Amino acid sequence: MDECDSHPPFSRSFQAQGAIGGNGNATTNTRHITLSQTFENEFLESGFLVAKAHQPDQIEQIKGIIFDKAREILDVDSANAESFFDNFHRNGLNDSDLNDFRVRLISEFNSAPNVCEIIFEAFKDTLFSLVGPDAVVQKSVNIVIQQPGDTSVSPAHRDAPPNSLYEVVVWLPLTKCYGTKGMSILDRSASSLANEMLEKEPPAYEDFKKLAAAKGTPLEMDFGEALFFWTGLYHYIPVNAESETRWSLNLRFKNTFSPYGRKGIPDYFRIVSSSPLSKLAIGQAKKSDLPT
Amino acid sequence: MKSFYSCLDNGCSNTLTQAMQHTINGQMATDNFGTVVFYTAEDRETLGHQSVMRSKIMERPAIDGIVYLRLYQFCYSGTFDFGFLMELLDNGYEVHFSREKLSIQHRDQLDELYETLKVFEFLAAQEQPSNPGALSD
Ligand SMILES: [Fe+2]
Repeated sequence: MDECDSHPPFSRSFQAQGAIGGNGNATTNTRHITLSQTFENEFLESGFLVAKAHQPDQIEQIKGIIFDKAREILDVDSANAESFFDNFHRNGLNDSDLNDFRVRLISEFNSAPNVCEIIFEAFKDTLFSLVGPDAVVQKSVNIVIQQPGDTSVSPAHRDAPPNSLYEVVVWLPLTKCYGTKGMSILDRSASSLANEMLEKEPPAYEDFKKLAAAKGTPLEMDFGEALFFWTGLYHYIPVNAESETRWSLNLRFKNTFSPYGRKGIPDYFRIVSSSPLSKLAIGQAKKSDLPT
Repeated sequence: MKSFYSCLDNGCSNTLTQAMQHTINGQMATDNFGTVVFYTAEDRETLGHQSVMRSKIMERPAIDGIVYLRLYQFCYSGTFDFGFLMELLDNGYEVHFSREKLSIQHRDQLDELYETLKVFEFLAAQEQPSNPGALSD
Protein backbone atom coordinates (compact mmCIF):
# COMPACT_ATOMS: atom_id res chain seq x y z
CA MET A 1 0.00 0.00 0.00
CA ASP A 2 1.57 3.29 -0.94
CA GLU A 3 1.53 6.49 1.09
CA CYS A 4 -1.57 7.87 -0.54
CA ASP A 5 -3.54 4.66 -0.24
CA SER A 6 -2.83 4.62 3.46
CA HIS A 7 -5.21 7.54 3.91
CA PRO A 8 -8.82 6.97 4.66
CA PRO A 9 -10.94 7.71 1.61
CA PHE A 10 -11.27 11.45 1.36
CA SER A 11 -14.87 11.46 0.41
CA ARG A 12 -15.18 11.31 4.17
CA SER A 13 -15.45 14.49 6.13
CA PHE A 14 -15.93 15.39 9.74
CA GLN A 15 -17.62 17.69 12.16
CA ALA A 16 -15.39 19.23 14.80
CA GLN A 17 -16.04 17.98 18.32
CA GLY A 18 -17.55 20.39 20.77
CA ALA A 19 -16.51 20.50 24.39
CA ILE A 20 -18.22 22.45 27.07
CA GLY A 21 -16.03 25.18 28.47
CA GLY A 22 -16.22 28.02 30.96
CA ASN A 23 -19.63 28.06 32.56
CA GLY A 24 -20.56 24.65 31.19
CA ASN A 25 -23.30 26.06 29.03
CA ALA A 26 -22.88 24.89 25.46
CA THR A 27 -25.43 27.32 24.09
CA THR A 28 -23.44 30.43 24.94
CA ASN A 29 -20.48 31.72 23.02
CA THR A 30 -18.14 30.31 25.64
CA ARG A 31 -18.49 26.99 23.82
CA HIS A 32 -15.03 25.71 23.05
CA ILE A 33 -14.57 23.68 19.92
CA THR A 34 -11.55 21.70 18.82
CA LEU A 35 -10.77 19.27 16.09
CA SER A 36 -11.10 15.73 17.34
CA GLN A 37 -7.73 14.22 18.17
CA THR A 38 -8.14 11.76 15.31
CA PHE A 39 -8.52 14.46 12.74
CA GLU A 40 -5.84 16.63 14.27
CA ASN A 41 -3.46 13.70 14.00
CA GLU A 42 -4.62 13.09 10.47
CA PHE A 43 -3.98 16.71 9.54
CA LEU A 44 -0.55 16.56 11.11
CA GLU A 45 0.29 13.37 9.23
CA SER A 46 -1.17 14.16 5.83
CA GLY A 47 -1.22 17.97 5.86
CA PHE A 48 -4.83 18.15 4.77
CA LEU A 49 -8.37 17.34 5.73
CA VAL A 50 -11.88 17.69 4.36
CA ALA A 51 -14.41 19.27 6.68
CA LYS A 52 -18.14 19.89 6.49
CA ALA A 53 -19.40 23.42 7.05
CA HIS A 54 -20.72 23.79 10.56
CA GLN A 55 -23.02 26.48 9.28
CA PRO A 56 -24.33 25.03 5.97
CA ASP A 57 -26.70 27.98 5.50
CA GLN A 58 -23.75 30.29 5.16
CA ILE A 59 -22.18 28.22 2.43
CA GLU A 60 -25.56 28.18 0.67
CA GLN A 61 -25.54 31.97 0.97
CA ILE A 62 -22.11 32.15 -0.71
CA LYS A 63 -23.30 29.87 -3.49
CA GLY A 64 -26.42 32.01 -3.88
CA ILE A 65 -24.40 35.22 -4.23
CA ILE A 66 -22.24 33.68 -6.95
CA PHE A 67 -25.24 32.16 -8.72
CA ASP A 68 -27.10 35.50 -8.74
CA LYS A 69 -24.12 37.49 -9.96
CA ALA A 70 -23.19 34.94 -12.62
CA ARG A 71 -26.75 34.88 -14.01
CA GLU A 72 -26.85 38.66 -14.01
CA ILE A 73 -23.53 39.02 -15.86
CA LEU A 74 -24.49 36.40 -18.45
CA ASP A 75 -28.07 37.64 -18.60
CA VAL A 76 -29.48 34.12 -18.48
CA ASP A 77 -32.47 32.66 -16.67
CA SER A 78 -31.87 29.66 -14.52
CA ALA A 79 -33.76 28.50 -11.48
CA ASN A 80 -31.35 25.86 -10.32
CA ALA A 81 -27.84 26.69 -9.12
CA GLU A 82 -26.59 23.10 -9.28
CA SER A 83 -27.64 22.70 -12.88
CA PHE A 84 -26.39 26.18 -13.82
CA PHE A 85 -22.91 25.47 -12.47
CA ASP A 86 -22.66 21.90 -13.79
CA ASN A 87 -23.87 22.86 -17.26
CA PHE A 88 -22.11 26.18 -17.47
CA HIS A 89 -20.04 25.05 -20.50
CA ARG A 90 -23.26 24.87 -22.53
CA ASN A 91 -23.25 28.69 -22.61
CA GLY A 92 -20.50 28.33 -25.21
CA LEU A 93 -18.24 31.17 -24.01
CA ASN A 94 -14.93 31.43 -25.86
CA ASP A 95 -11.67 31.77 -23.88
CA SER A 96 -11.68 35.54 -23.95
CA ASP A 97 -15.35 35.85 -22.95
CA LEU A 98 -14.85 33.28 -20.22
CA ASN A 99 -11.91 35.24 -18.86
CA ASP A 100 -13.89 38.51 -18.90
CA PHE A 101 -16.80 36.76 -17.20
CA ARG A 102 -14.56 35.31 -14.49
CA VAL A 103 -12.75 38.60 -13.82
CA ARG A 104 -16.05 40.45 -13.49
CA LEU A 105 -17.58 37.73 -11.35
CA ILE A 106 -14.60 37.72 -8.96
CA SER A 107 -14.72 41.49 -8.68
CA GLU A 108 -18.47 41.63 -8.05
CA PHE A 109 -18.42 38.68 -5.66
CA ASN A 110 -15.65 40.24 -3.60
CA SER A 111 -17.53 43.54 -3.51
CA ALA A 112 -20.50 41.82 -1.89
CA PRO A 113 -20.50 42.50 1.85
CA ASN A 114 -18.63 40.18 4.22
CA VAL A 115 -18.05 37.21 1.92
CA CYS A 116 -14.84 36.22 3.72
CA GLU A 117 -16.55 36.57 7.08
CA ILE A 118 -19.39 34.33 5.92
CA ILE A 119 -16.95 31.63 4.81
CA PHE A 120 -15.01 32.02 8.06
CA GLU A 121 -18.20 31.62 10.09
CA ALA A 122 -19.24 28.57 8.11
CA PHE A 123 -15.99 26.76 8.97
CA LYS A 124 -15.16 28.62 12.16
CA ASP A 125 -14.63 25.55 14.33
CA THR A 126 -12.13 24.03 11.94
CA LEU A 127 -10.35 27.33 11.36
CA PHE A 128 -10.15 28.08 15.07
CA SER A 129 -8.48 24.72 15.56
CA LEU A 130 -6.03 25.20 12.70
CA VAL A 131 -5.06 28.86 12.99
CA GLY A 132 -6.55 30.06 16.27
CA PRO A 133 -8.92 32.89 17.10
CA ASP A 134 -6.52 35.60 15.89
CA ALA A 135 -6.97 35.10 12.17
CA VAL A 136 -6.42 36.95 8.94
CA VAL A 137 -7.98 36.09 5.61
CA GLN A 138 -6.96 36.72 2.03
CA LYS A 139 -8.70 39.92 0.95
CA SER A 140 -9.96 38.61 -2.36
CA VAL A 141 -11.48 35.15 -2.84
CA ASN A 142 -10.50 33.39 -6.09
CA ILE A 143 -13.14 31.70 -8.22
CA VAL A 144 -11.96 28.97 -10.59
CA ILE A 145 -14.16 27.64 -13.39
CA GLN A 146 -12.92 24.57 -15.27
CA GLN A 147 -15.02 23.50 -18.21
CA PRO A 148 -14.80 19.93 -19.52
CA GLY A 149 -11.67 19.43 -21.61
CA ASP A 150 -10.13 22.79 -20.67
CA THR A 151 -6.38 22.16 -20.74
CA SER A 152 -5.38 25.46 -19.15
CA VAL A 153 -4.64 24.00 -15.73
CA SER A 154 -1.76 24.88 -13.43
CA PRO A 155 0.92 22.21 -13.06
CA ALA A 156 1.41 20.62 -9.65
CA HIS A 157 2.84 23.21 -7.30
CA ARG A 158 2.88 24.24 -3.67
CA ASP A 159 1.83 27.69 -2.48
CA ALA A 160 4.70 28.18 -0.01
CA PRO A 161 6.98 29.78 -0.87
CA PRO A 162 6.06 32.52 -1.81
CA ASN A 163 3.18 32.12 0.65
CA SER A 164 3.95 31.42 4.28
CA LEU A 165 4.10 27.90 5.68
CA TYR A 166 1.84 29.22 8.43
CA GLU A 167 -1.12 29.51 6.08
CA VAL A 168 -3.92 27.08 5.38
CA VAL A 169 -5.56 27.00 1.96
CA VAL A 170 -9.30 26.51 1.87
CA TRP A 171 -10.59 24.97 -1.35
CA LEU A 172 -14.35 25.08 -1.58
CA PRO A 173 -16.17 23.37 -4.45
CA LEU A 174 -19.52 24.81 -5.46
CA THR A 175 -20.63 21.51 -6.99
CA LYS A 176 -20.10 17.84 -6.33
CA CYS A 177 -16.54 16.74 -7.11
CA TYR A 178 -15.72 13.29 -8.41
CA GLY A 179 -13.18 11.76 -10.77
CA THR A 180 -11.28 14.50 -12.59
CA LYS A 181 -13.81 17.14 -11.55
CA GLY A 182 -12.04 17.50 -8.21
CA MET A 183 -8.66 18.53 -6.88
CA SER A 184 -5.65 16.27 -6.43
CA ILE A 185 -3.27 16.68 -3.56
CA LEU A 186 0.04 15.14 -2.53
CA ASP A 187 0.19 14.41 1.17
CA ARG A 188 3.13 15.43 3.35
CA SER A 189 5.16 12.34 2.61
CA ALA A 190 4.69 12.60 -1.18
CA SER A 191 5.29 16.34 -1.04
CA SER A 192 8.58 15.85 0.72
CA LEU A 193 9.62 13.33 -1.96
CA ALA A 194 8.66 15.97 -4.53
CA ASN A 195 10.82 18.54 -2.74
CA GLU A 196 13.81 16.17 -2.90
CA MET A 197 13.31 15.75 -6.64
CA LEU A 198 13.02 19.46 -7.30
CA GLU A 199 15.97 20.34 -5.08
CA LYS A 200 18.30 18.12 -7.15
CA GLU A 201 20.74 19.84 -9.48
CA PRO A 202 19.37 19.91 -12.14
CA PRO A 203 15.82 19.46 -10.82
CA ALA A 204 14.31 16.06 -11.71
CA TYR A 205 11.20 17.69 -13.15
CA GLU A 206 10.07 14.69 -15.23
CA ASP A 207 10.30 12.42 -12.17
CA PHE A 208 8.35 15.03 -10.21
CA LYS A 209 5.57 15.05 -12.81
CA LYS A 210 5.34 11.25 -12.66
CA LEU A 211 5.27 11.36 -8.87
CA ALA A 212 2.52 13.98 -8.87
CA ALA A 213 0.41 11.88 -11.25
CA ALA A 214 0.97 8.68 -9.28
CA LYS A 215 0.67 10.02 -5.74
CA GLY A 216 -1.92 12.74 -6.16
CA THR A 217 -4.97 11.86 -4.10
CA PRO A 218 -8.09 12.79 -6.07
CA LEU A 219 -10.64 14.16 -3.67
CA GLU A 220 -14.30 13.29 -3.82
CA MET A 221 -16.24 16.05 -2.18
CA ASP A 222 -19.77 17.32 -1.89
CA PHE A 223 -20.93 20.89 -1.92
CA GLY A 224 -20.85 22.07 1.71
CA GLU A 225 -17.45 20.52 2.33
CA ALA A 226 -14.09 22.25 2.11
CA LEU A 227 -10.58 21.01 1.74
CA PHE A 228 -8.10 22.53 4.20
CA PHE A 229 -4.50 22.02 3.21
CA TRP A 230 -1.10 23.17 4.34
CA THR A 231 0.67 25.50 1.92
CA GLY A 232 3.67 23.13 1.89
CA LEU A 233 1.68 20.47 -0.01
CA TYR A 234 1.84 20.04 -3.78
CA HIS A 235 -1.54 20.08 -5.46
CA TYR A 236 -3.09 20.38 -8.88
CA ILE A 237 -6.38 20.26 -10.63
CA PRO A 238 -6.48 17.69 -13.41
CA VAL A 239 -7.92 18.43 -16.85
CA ASN A 240 -11.64 18.02 -16.29
CA ALA A 241 -12.56 14.90 -18.27
CA GLU A 242 -16.08 14.71 -16.83
CA SER A 243 -19.14 16.08 -18.59
CA GLU A 244 -19.80 18.82 -16.01
CA THR A 245 -18.06 22.11 -15.25
CA ARG A 246 -16.05 22.37 -12.05
CA TRP A 247 -16.59 25.54 -9.94
CA SER A 248 -14.49 26.19 -6.89
CA LEU A 249 -13.38 28.96 -4.57
CA ASN A 250 -10.02 29.21 -2.89
CA LEU A 251 -8.72 31.46 -0.15
CA ARG A 252 -6.11 31.41 2.56
CA PHE A 253 -6.20 31.94 6.31
CA LYS A 254 -3.40 32.28 8.80
CA ASN A 255 -2.81 33.35 12.35
CA THR A 256 -2.51 37.12 12.57
CA PHE A 257 0.75 36.95 14.50
CA SER A 258 2.51 34.08 12.73
CA PRO A 259 5.24 34.70 10.12
CA TYR A 260 4.09 36.04 6.76
CA GLY A 261 5.42 35.06 3.35
CA ARG A 262 5.71 37.44 0.42
CA LYS A 263 2.12 38.48 1.01
CA GLY A 264 1.49 40.58 4.06
CA ILE A 265 -1.12 42.62 5.83
CA PRO A 266 -2.87 44.80 4.76
CA ASP A 267 -1.73 44.36 1.14
CA TYR A 268 -3.05 40.78 0.82
CA PHE A 269 -4.63 39.78 4.13
CA ARG A 270 -7.05 41.44 6.47
CA ILE A 271 -8.14 40.65 10.00
CA VAL A 272 -11.20 38.41 10.18
CA SER A 273 -11.17 37.44 13.85
CA SER A 274 -9.48 38.63 17.03
CA SER A 275 -9.14 36.86 20.35
CA PRO A 276 -10.48 38.59 23.47
CA LEU A 277 -6.91 38.96 24.71
CA SER A 278 -5.76 40.69 21.52
CA LYS A 279 -8.79 42.98 21.70
CA LEU A 280 -7.84 44.02 25.22
CA ALA A 281 -4.17 44.56 24.38
CA ILE A 282 -4.89 46.48 21.21
CA GLY A 283 -7.57 48.54 22.93
CA GLN A 284 -5.06 49.49 25.60
CA ALA A 285 -2.38 50.45 23.06
CA LYS A 286 -4.92 52.52 21.14
CA LYS A 287 -5.46 54.81 24.10
CA SER A 288 -1.86 56.00 23.97
CA ASP A 289 -1.38 55.83 20.19
CA LEU A 290 -4.60 57.64 19.28
CA PRO A 291 -5.41 59.97 22.17
CA THR A 292 -8.79 61.61 21.78
CA MET B 1 -9.10 67.04 -9.90
CA LYS B 2 -7.32 66.56 -6.58
CA SER B 3 -3.67 67.40 -6.09
CA PHE B 4 -1.25 65.26 -4.12
CA TYR B 5 2.30 65.25 -2.92
CA SER B 6 4.09 62.02 -3.69
CA CYS B 7 6.45 60.71 -1.03
CA LEU B 8 8.91 58.23 -2.48
CA ASP B 9 10.76 55.68 -0.35
CA ASN B 10 14.54 55.83 -0.45
CA GLY B 11 14.61 52.83 1.88
CA CYS B 12 13.75 50.51 -1.00
CA SER B 13 15.22 52.31 -3.99
CA ASN B 14 17.55 49.39 -4.75
CA THR B 15 14.52 47.29 -5.57
CA LEU B 16 12.18 49.96 -6.87
CA THR B 17 13.93 52.75 -8.75
CA GLN B 18 12.64 56.30 -8.35
CA ALA B 19 11.19 56.10 -11.85
CA MET B 20 9.18 53.01 -10.88
CA GLN B 21 8.03 54.69 -7.69
CA HIS B 22 6.86 57.74 -9.65
CA THR B 23 4.77 55.49 -11.88
CA ILE B 24 3.26 53.60 -8.97
CA ASN B 25 2.39 56.68 -6.91
CA GLY B 26 1.15 58.48 -10.02
CA GLN B 27 -1.28 55.64 -10.66
CA MET B 28 -2.43 55.71 -7.04
CA ALA B 29 -3.08 59.47 -7.39
CA THR B 30 -5.10 58.81 -10.55
CA ASP B 31 -7.07 56.05 -8.83
CA ASN B 32 -7.97 58.60 -6.17
CA PHE B 33 -9.17 61.20 -8.66
CA GLY B 34 -6.05 63.34 -8.59
CA THR B 35 -2.59 64.02 -9.85
CA VAL B 36 0.86 64.40 -8.31
CA VAL B 37 1.91 68.05 -8.18
CA PHE B 38 5.15 67.64 -6.26
CA TYR B 39 7.34 64.81 -5.11
CA THR B 40 9.79 64.40 -2.31
CA ALA B 41 11.64 61.68 -0.41
CA GLU B 42 13.37 61.40 2.92
CA ASP B 43 17.12 61.05 3.09
CA ARG B 44 18.50 57.92 4.71
CA GLU B 45 19.04 59.97 7.87
CA THR B 46 15.49 61.35 8.03
CA LEU B 47 13.55 58.18 7.17
CA GLY B 48 12.56 57.56 10.81
CA HIS B 49 11.36 61.09 11.60
CA GLN B 50 10.05 62.10 8.16
CA SER B 51 11.67 65.50 8.70
CA VAL B 52 11.45 66.44 5.03
CA MET B 53 7.72 65.77 4.80
CA ARG B 54 7.08 67.38 8.19
CA SER B 55 8.67 70.62 7.04
CA LYS B 56 6.67 70.58 3.80
CA ILE B 57 3.46 70.11 5.77
CA MET B 58 4.33 72.95 8.13
CA GLU B 59 4.00 75.21 5.09
CA ARG B 60 0.34 74.10 4.95
CA PRO B 61 0.38 73.49 1.21
CA ALA B 62 -2.95 73.74 -0.64
CA ILE B 63 -3.08 70.08 -1.58
CA ASP B 64 -5.61 67.33 -0.96
CA GLY B 65 -3.21 64.80 0.41
CA ILE B 66 -0.08 62.72 0.20
CA VAL B 67 0.59 59.50 -1.66
CA TYR B 68 3.18 57.30 0.04
CA LEU B 69 4.74 54.30 -1.64
CA ARG B 70 4.06 52.02 1.31
CA LEU B 71 2.97 51.83 4.94
CA TYR B 72 6.45 50.95 6.08
CA GLN B 73 7.43 54.59 5.60
CA PHE B 74 5.66 55.20 8.92
CA CYS B 75 7.66 52.44 10.66
CA TYR B 76 11.28 53.34 9.96
CA SER B 77 11.71 54.56 13.54
CA GLY B 78 10.81 51.11 14.89
CA THR B 79 7.22 51.90 15.83
CA PHE B 80 4.32 53.10 13.73
CA ASP B 81 4.24 56.90 13.75
CA PHE B 82 0.56 57.33 14.58
CA GLY B 83 1.26 60.89 15.76
CA PHE B 84 2.35 62.16 12.36
CA LEU B 85 -0.41 60.27 10.58
CA MET B 86 -2.97 61.92 12.89
CA GLU B 87 -1.37 65.31 12.30
CA LEU B 88 -1.78 64.89 8.54
CA LEU B 89 -5.39 63.82 8.89
CA ASP B 90 -6.21 66.52 11.44
CA ASN B 91 -4.90 69.10 9.00
CA GLY B 92 -7.34 67.83 6.41
CA TYR B 93 -4.93 65.86 4.25
CA GLU B 94 -5.83 62.48 2.81
CA VAL B 95 -3.11 59.83 3.12
CA HIS B 96 -2.75 57.10 0.49
CA PHE B 97 -0.44 54.08 0.39
CA SER B 98 0.24 52.60 -3.03
CA ARG B 99 1.62 49.20 -2.07
CA GLU B 100 -1.28 48.40 0.21
CA LYS B 101 -3.87 50.18 -1.96
CA LEU B 102 -4.95 51.80 1.27
CA SER B 103 -6.50 55.25 1.56
CA ILE B 104 -7.20 57.07 4.81
CA GLN B 105 -9.33 60.13 4.34
CA HIS B 106 -10.58 60.92 7.82
CA ARG B 107 -9.54 60.51 11.41
CA ASP B 108 -12.56 58.21 11.96
CA GLN B 109 -11.11 55.80 9.44
CA LEU B 110 -7.91 55.67 11.45
CA ASP B 111 -9.91 54.39 14.40
CA GLU B 112 -11.32 51.60 12.28
CA LEU B 113 -7.91 50.73 10.84
CA TYR B 114 -6.04 50.92 14.10
CA GLU B 115 -5.94 47.17 14.78
CA THR B 116 -4.62 46.46 11.28
CA LEU B 117 -1.96 49.15 11.57
CA LYS B 118 -0.96 47.87 15.00
CA VAL B 119 -0.52 44.36 13.58
CA PHE B 120 1.50 45.85 10.72
CA GLU B 121 3.71 47.60 13.29
CA PHE B 122 4.18 44.36 15.18
CA LEU B 123 5.22 42.51 12.02
CA ALA B 124 7.48 45.30 10.85
CA ALA B 125 9.23 45.18 14.22
CA GLN B 126 9.96 41.49 13.75
CA GLU B 127 12.08 42.49 10.74
CA GLN B 128 11.08 39.29 9.06
CA PRO B 129 13.11 38.96 5.88
CA SER B 130 10.13 37.25 4.27
CA ASN B 131 7.83 40.18 4.95
CA PRO B 132 8.45 42.66 2.14
CA GLY B 133 6.51 45.30 4.03
CA ALA B 134 9.22 45.20 6.65
CA LEU B 135 12.17 45.26 4.28
CA SER B 136 14.41 48.11 3.59
CA ASP B 137 17.40 47.39 1.40
FE1 LIG C 1 -2.06 26.61 -5.40
